[in-house]
Order: sequence, then C-alpha cells, then structure tokens
Amino acid sequence: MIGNVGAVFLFEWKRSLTLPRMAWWLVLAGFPVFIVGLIRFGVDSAHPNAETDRAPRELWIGFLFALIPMLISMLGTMLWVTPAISAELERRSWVYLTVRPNGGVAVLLGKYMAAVTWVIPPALIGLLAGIILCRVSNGWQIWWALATMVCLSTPAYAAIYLFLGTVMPRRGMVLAVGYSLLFELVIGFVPALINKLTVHHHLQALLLLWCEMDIPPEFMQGAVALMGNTPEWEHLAFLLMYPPVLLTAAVAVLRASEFSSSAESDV
Amino acid sequence: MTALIDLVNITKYYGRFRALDDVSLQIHSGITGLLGPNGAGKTTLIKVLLGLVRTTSGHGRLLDFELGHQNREIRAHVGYMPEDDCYLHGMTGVECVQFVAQLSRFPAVEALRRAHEILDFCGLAQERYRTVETYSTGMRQKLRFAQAIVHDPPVLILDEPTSGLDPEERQVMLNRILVLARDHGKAVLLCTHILPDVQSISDAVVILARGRIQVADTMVELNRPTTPSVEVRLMGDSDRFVETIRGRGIAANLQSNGGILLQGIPDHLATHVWQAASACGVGVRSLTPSRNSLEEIFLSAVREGGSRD
Repeated sequence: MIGNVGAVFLFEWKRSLTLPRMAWWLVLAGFPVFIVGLIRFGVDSAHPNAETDRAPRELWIGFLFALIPMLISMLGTMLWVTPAISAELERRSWVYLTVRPNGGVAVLLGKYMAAVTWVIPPALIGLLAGIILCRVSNGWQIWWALATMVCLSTPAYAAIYLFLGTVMPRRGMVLAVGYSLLFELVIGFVPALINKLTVHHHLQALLLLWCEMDIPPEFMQGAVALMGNTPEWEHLAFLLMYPPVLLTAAVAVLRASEFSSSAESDV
Repeated sequence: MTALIDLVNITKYYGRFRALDDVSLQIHSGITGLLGPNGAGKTTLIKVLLGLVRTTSGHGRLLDFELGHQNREIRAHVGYMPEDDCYLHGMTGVECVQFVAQLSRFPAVEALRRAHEILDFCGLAQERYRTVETYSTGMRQKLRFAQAIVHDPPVLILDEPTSGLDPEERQVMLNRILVLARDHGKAVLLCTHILPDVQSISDAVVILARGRIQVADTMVELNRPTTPSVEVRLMGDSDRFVETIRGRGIAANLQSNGGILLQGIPDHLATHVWQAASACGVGVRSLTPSRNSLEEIFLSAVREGGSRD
C-alpha cells in the first residue's frame, strides 16, 4: 500500500514538471510578493521622507497571514486535489488505476501528498520574499511562525478539498469554492461554536499567540470573543486532526462509491 | 472441472434500469468470448467481476475470492484491458506500463524490467520511449494490452482488444491472446463485437442480451448443428445431383453460397454422395460436416432476448 502511494506520489510529481504547472508554481510564489511589493511601493511613495515605517507592523503581518497560510494554501491545494478523481474520470484513466489492488486509495493519497509538497515550497518562498519587502521587526520570528502555519494549513486544506472532491467529483470545484467562501471566510469570523470547525479560526488564534501582535485593548476584547481562551495545543490538535480524519473519510467514501466516466456509463 | 468464474443469480440495477437480470454463469479456463449487442450488460458484467460496481442481488466468485468482498485480491489476480482509449498523459509507453506494474505492488526496478519484457512481447519496440500522446491506434492498443498483463494475472478480461486494428495487426493480437491462453494457462474473457475473432480463438461463448444470458456453451457444442448434416460442393451440374440424391431418400437443399446441404449422419451420407456424383458425372470438390455459424447463433440469441421483453 505504501509502495502504491509512493508510486502515485512520484508519478504526480513527474507529471507536474510541465511548463503550465511550473508557471502556476511561480504564480503561487510570486502573487503575495507582488501584492506586498505593491503596498510597500505605495507606502514609500506616499511618505518618501518618513524615518519610520508608516504602515504598522500588525498590518504587514495581517497581509502576509491572509495571503500565504490562508489564500495560497487554499488556492494551491484546491486546484490540485479537488479534481483528483474527476480529472482521472475525464481522462478515462480512472478505471485503469482502480483495477489495481488499492489503486483508488493510492491515487487519492498519492495525489494528496504530491499536492501538499507542491504547494508548501512556493508558499514558503513567497513568505520569505514578503517578509524582506515588509521590513518588519523580528522578521525571522514572523517567518518562522507563518511558515509553521503554512505547514499546518496546507495539509488541512488539502484534506478538506480532497474529501469534497471525493464526495462529489463532478461538482467538486463548485463545492470547494462554496466551502471556502462560506465556511472559511464567513463562518470563520462568526463568534460561535461552529467557527471552531474552520481552519481559519485556528490559524487566526495561532497568529495572535505566536506573532506578538500589539493589538489595542478595544480590538483585543473582540479578538478574545472571537477566539475564546482556547490553549495553543488545542488549536494545534485541531489542525493536525484534519488530515487523518478527512483522508479516512475520503477513503471510506471512495470505497462506497461507484465512479464511472461518461464513456464507461455504457451498460 | 472447477469454474474460475462462478456467478449465481446476479442482478444489477442502475436506478430503475435493470442492467443484469438474474445472471448465472460459469467460466472455465481457456478463452471465453463474451458477446452481446450494445447495452446488453457486458460492461456491467465486467465491472461486477472487477468489483467496480456492487450487485443488487446474487453472489459470485472469481478464482477463490468472493465478488464484492475480496476486491483487492480479485484485482491482484485479474488483468483488465478496458475498451476506452485511456492513457496517462505526458508519460512514455514504458513509464506507463512501469507505473501500473508499481500499482500492482512491484518495486520500481522490477516493475521497469517487467515493463520492458511485456512491451517486447506486445511488439512495442523503440516507440516505448515516445510519449503516449504520439501513439497510433495500434500502438495504444498494444500499450493497453501490456498494462493488462504486466502483473502476470491468471485471469484476463479483454474488452475489444482488436478494435481499430488492421487485419494483420488483428491477427497478431489474436495470436498473442492464444499464446497467453494455451502456453501460459491464462483464462481469458474476450469481450468483442467482432464475431470472427471469437469464432477463431474461443473455446466457449457467452451471449448476453438485455442483461440476460441467452447462450453459454462451448464452441464445439455451439458449432454442432441440431440435425447432423454435411455440406457438399461440386464441380458440374448441381441440380441433377440434388435430384439424384433426393431419389435416394436424403433431404437436400441448394444453398445461396452454391453448396448443397444434406441432412443425415456424415459417415452414412459420404457413400451416397460419391455414388450420386459418379452417376451424375459431377466432381466432388468438398464434403464437410456442416457447422452452425456464430453469426446465426448470435442473431438468433439476440432476437430471442428481444422477443422475451
């Protein structure tokens, strides 16, 4: 089984070394750098003679957080793993892969691993370049904190999107976009128990705990209301639980499903 | 003889559509042709065998493994060549075969060795180093065949293995299947629309129509006519010969292909044929026991299947 997953993982990596995929890799790495660079340029142009940075440190950290452990991790994994099954169904290669012992599960887990290892490097490179452009104090500490978040959020988001793509392969992308907008962006900000189910909530809590943000007391009250007083280990446990739980669920769904491509729908 | 595939009362519904209707079937070693018109249930039957779909009712066994319960074991022992032209983009032929061998639990190096060995057997020479997108139909067919047999499975399910091949390539492919069945002891389920392929290499035939088994028998039994008869071909006046032979109390019919069908036991008829030919002054070009044609059997089975509905 491990050998099968390894074979799919290597195969997917080999397949990803094409020009379009490499271009997409560069876009993932370059997008946050471009946005942060644009803001940096705007701030510097508005205050050319300022001795200190006019944009507060918390603003830069907030931008980097929203762009990298959130957006890049979400977008990269969504485009990679959501069509894990539907792409093979469309290429009609699904049947080839599933008629091997544990073939379907190997495809699922191999693609998951390939997606996670493919998305993390551009996110970390983009983060490094972004930190340099921001010129925030304690840059390395911020890089380390956000990089850890990338390593937590990418496997979690990949597991979520893989699960959604397995539950509904034909409409997986719609489901994934709907989930991201509704759950991660809306419900993640709702101060209720349900927000604990979002990756966003736990990442936000870790951001406050790890990045020594200097937040005004009136905002801090709101943040505590949103985050609660949950200890750090609980946030970490939640984020680490996503991949095993959702991958197990995806495998169970896969085993219970009868996927067929349109061409195979012949009786 | 123990059946390699044993299905008992298998029924499969897709929603309200009944794709397989109470199918009971035993398939033994050798080559078995699986025939049926479009929509007969052949693909569903194959999917049931591979555990790709669950049956609505019934049970079955493939080798020593229960269908639907031991899918992993079944897939390890079955080689499947799908009809669809599916290939893995961006890979060379040898990489494709190596990849599926790895998925069949072979280590990378052993998988590569097997891939080369099988591609040699399948006749893919230097083309194996080209990406599969550049392959012709024949090459893709060979590649699909190689992927099906790379893990040396005892049972092969081949869906339209000769479609799209030119006559020479078709014969070569059939020979390969024969070699695997005869020399390597594989059980082959050959699903095709090309009746001469089945006629030429199959040991048994299964005909499905509307989800039901219409015919399941050996080729020897199917070829045997219901009433024994011989087909005679002559050089000379056929009409006079027919009159003479009928005068001997033997039923004779002149056929559209120019042959004369005589009803009776072949050994008994031979003497009458030679005597009548001598009396009429015609030469006997051939005298062969007549056989049922697979086409007639197929058409009658399909008509029967249709009329039952």
